Amino acid sequence: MIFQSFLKLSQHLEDVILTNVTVNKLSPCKRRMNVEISPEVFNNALEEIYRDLEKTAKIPGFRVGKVPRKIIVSRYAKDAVEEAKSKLINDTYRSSITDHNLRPVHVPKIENISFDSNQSLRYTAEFEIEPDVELKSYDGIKIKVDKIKITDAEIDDELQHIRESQATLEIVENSRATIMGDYIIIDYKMIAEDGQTVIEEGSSKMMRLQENATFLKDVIDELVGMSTGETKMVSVVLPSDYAKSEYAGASVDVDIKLIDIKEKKLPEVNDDFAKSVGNFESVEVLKDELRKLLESHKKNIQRKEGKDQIIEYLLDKHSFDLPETVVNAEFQQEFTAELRKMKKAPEDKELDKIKEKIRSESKKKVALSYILAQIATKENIRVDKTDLEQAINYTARSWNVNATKLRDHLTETGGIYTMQEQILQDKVLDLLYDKARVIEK
Amino acid sequence: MKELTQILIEPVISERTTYLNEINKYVFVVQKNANKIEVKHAVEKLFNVKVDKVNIVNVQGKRKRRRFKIGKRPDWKKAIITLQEGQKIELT
Repeated sequence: MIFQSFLKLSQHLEDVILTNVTVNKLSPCKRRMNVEISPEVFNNALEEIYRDLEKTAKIPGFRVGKVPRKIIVSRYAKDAVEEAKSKLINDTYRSSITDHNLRPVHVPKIENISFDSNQSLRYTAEFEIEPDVELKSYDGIKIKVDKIKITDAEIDDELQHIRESQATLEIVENSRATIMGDYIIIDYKMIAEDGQTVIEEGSSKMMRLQENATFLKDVIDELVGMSTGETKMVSVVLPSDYAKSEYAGASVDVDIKLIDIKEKKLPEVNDDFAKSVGNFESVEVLKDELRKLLESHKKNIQRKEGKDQIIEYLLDKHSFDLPETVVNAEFQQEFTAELRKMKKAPEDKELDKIKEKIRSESKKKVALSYILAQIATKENIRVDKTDLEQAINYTARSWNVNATKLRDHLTETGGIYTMQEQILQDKVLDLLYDKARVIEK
Repeated sequence: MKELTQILIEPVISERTTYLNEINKYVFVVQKNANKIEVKHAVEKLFNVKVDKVNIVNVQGKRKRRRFKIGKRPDWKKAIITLQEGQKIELT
């Protein structure tokens, strides 16, 4: 498809001078724009630059503003022509894309700049544009979500969590022997096989006797059943990743003395407990509050589930070509993030799999952002300052940083645009959710 | 015989000389020990023009002070060349 058109150049040129622009469609999202700028336009631009220079050029032997044109041309001709070129390319590129209603998604690749002797300037600009999304109906999308049910058991669970968090460690009285789950402090001395060399010696920190302990499981097992002041000799095999590498994997004897046994005491559930948690009058009130909390939490999850289904639906219904550069940029970002998350570099085969997966995800993400942006325009949804402010405050609170600092940082790095987009998408999804036919199962 | 290109060192380009150019006078920095005849000869040969007359000025170098050090720029010889009518030099 080739459009042919003429456009007016910058307003400050007195005459209407024509510039020839043709657009070729290279692929669904890729365009090549051929621009030819006539000599008159070029000379006008050059003239303007010279006129500027006449006013400002500082040349020894002349007062500013008194340098004759001849001298200016002889000194600055090369630079002036370059400047005129770049200025014209910039100007015509911008006006051409608005004229042809093209929305490039990246900085264009400007090539084949040619400049004939008769001074007509030609160039081509290659770029990808935003895809045209034909919106399908999005009212009343059917979604199925789980019904919100809150059982007493869940509330009890929550209560148990609170109790755990408020538990105190108390010294075991009447010096009973240790059992699993106790907290203990020991003195230890680790002796090498030769019976003399002391590898390690000291007091342990408070440690918990756990059945699924990973470190020196044999020792933990031996510690169960000891009582305060008791000593014991245990022989163990050190793990292969032991810090002192010369002893890694060696079997050693450990001389252990049990210093202290403490156990966890959970507070009893009564009205005093309710008051200490958050000034609730009674256990019943506390439970009600917990129920409310759980309910809102579950509602959020339900809404998120619903939104996920809406996203699936939208992606399923719309299909259009995506600009490769945007997908690639998204992919690169996600891919580096993923690599950073992984502890060690994956093997080639695995890497290919990961790449494949991230690529398809990136495509979905990009497609979704275009669909949602289109809906937002149609429904006139916008992100205003208060939305942004709220989101920043919320993020600042959850990251435990200063909101103003975060805002400055986001503005600096451009993260604020990502945030803006996210808020917009969320708003659109909220709208779609409200319009959807929600079926609770 | 001195080399012609050595006699003429450089043209003087300034607001004033631009004006002088319009009345067919051209200004050059010339070698300190060059005389009017040598300058005339050099200009005629190098620019292929007819010289009417040559005026020469010995210019004193400016005294310049940098902090407490007193310095002096070198003296130089200026030649103002008047061409015969209809002759022209393209300096720039």
